[in-house]
Amino acid sequence: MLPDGDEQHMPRLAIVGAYCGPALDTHSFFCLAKRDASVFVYHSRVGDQTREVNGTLAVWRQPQP
Amino acid sequence: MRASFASRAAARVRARSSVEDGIASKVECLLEALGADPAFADAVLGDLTEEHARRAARDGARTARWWYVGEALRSAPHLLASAVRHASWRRRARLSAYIAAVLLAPAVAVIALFGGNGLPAQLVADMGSAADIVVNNVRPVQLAMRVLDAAGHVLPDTGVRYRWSAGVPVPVSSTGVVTCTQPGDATVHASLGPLTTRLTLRCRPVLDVRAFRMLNIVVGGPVAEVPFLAVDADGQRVTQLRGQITVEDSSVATVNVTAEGKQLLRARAAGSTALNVRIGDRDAHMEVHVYERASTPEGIRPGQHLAVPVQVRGGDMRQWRLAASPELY
Repeated sequence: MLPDGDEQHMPRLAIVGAYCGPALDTHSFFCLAKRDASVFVYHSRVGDQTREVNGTLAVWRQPQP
Repeated sequence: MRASFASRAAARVRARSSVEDGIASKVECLLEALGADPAFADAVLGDLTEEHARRAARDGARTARWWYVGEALRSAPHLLASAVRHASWRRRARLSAYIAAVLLAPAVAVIALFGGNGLPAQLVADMGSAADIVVNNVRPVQLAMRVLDAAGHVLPDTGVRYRWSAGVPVPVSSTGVVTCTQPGDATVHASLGPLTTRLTLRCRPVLDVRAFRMLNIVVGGPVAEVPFLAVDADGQRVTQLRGQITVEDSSVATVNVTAEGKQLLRARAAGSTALNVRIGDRDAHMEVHVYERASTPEGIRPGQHLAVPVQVRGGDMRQWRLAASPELY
């Protein structure tokens, strides 16, 4: 998840159905999806619920070896 | 056009009164100086003089004079060939000297005008600004100077000598190898013969360059400053830096320097590349991934980079499905 300016207020990210570990920067993950996986982006339940948060979901599928 | 020597000489004497004495005598002197065979030269000039007289009577003096000069010039190659064939070795040497002078003079003039270098006139630092040299190296580094002549041509910099004169005591060799053993400013004199230039050596040794190992940017998105931190032996940030930032594949991303010296990373096309930051003798490497905008990541193919803008309010949630894959996401 890439912040759109404000790193404190960006959407939360969850990945279900894949094995994931931290990648090379703070908001990234490397994931292996042996089966179909799901990506969820949601608003934090903490803080101002009326405030819209922005970000960019960046997905890179590595090239075939 | 050839006539007997006797009649030719007589005609020449007569014609001389009406011919431009100046021209004829100059041509004679030139031929004599070039070493042409006197008899051959006399025969040629005699013929010319006779014809000149006829033309002067028929066409007028001015026309005849131009004809005479033209014919005299046209005869020059034959006269030179005659001089080479018949002259003594001394005259041949003199002739060679004349020819060499005629050929060399314009060549020397052209070389002096366009390609010639003069004596050293200026010593300019070849690192950093005019008289300030920032050194971030921890290991010994060679100072570089540019030697220029008065016209600004670059001359070889061999022979430039260096001497530490004031400031923080850092070793400076006479050949310009400096070791910034501590931070601070030093004054160094560079000299070449009578030329001397004072340099301010700003020792800012960098022990480490810290950076993210991965940068993610979007085509058409905001331009980002290359995020890195150069630190000294105490872990403190060093702000005066001299180095280089390079991108391996400039079709994916480029680095542009602003007027304020900021290094901005710009996305060019979706893909992956590497970025290298080198400060002094330390460097940091980063992977750069550039994403293209899309409405969904579903259906992403191997090697593709997609960026999906997301906006959520409290209670909102969005979901996408990614296909099973032998490759990592």
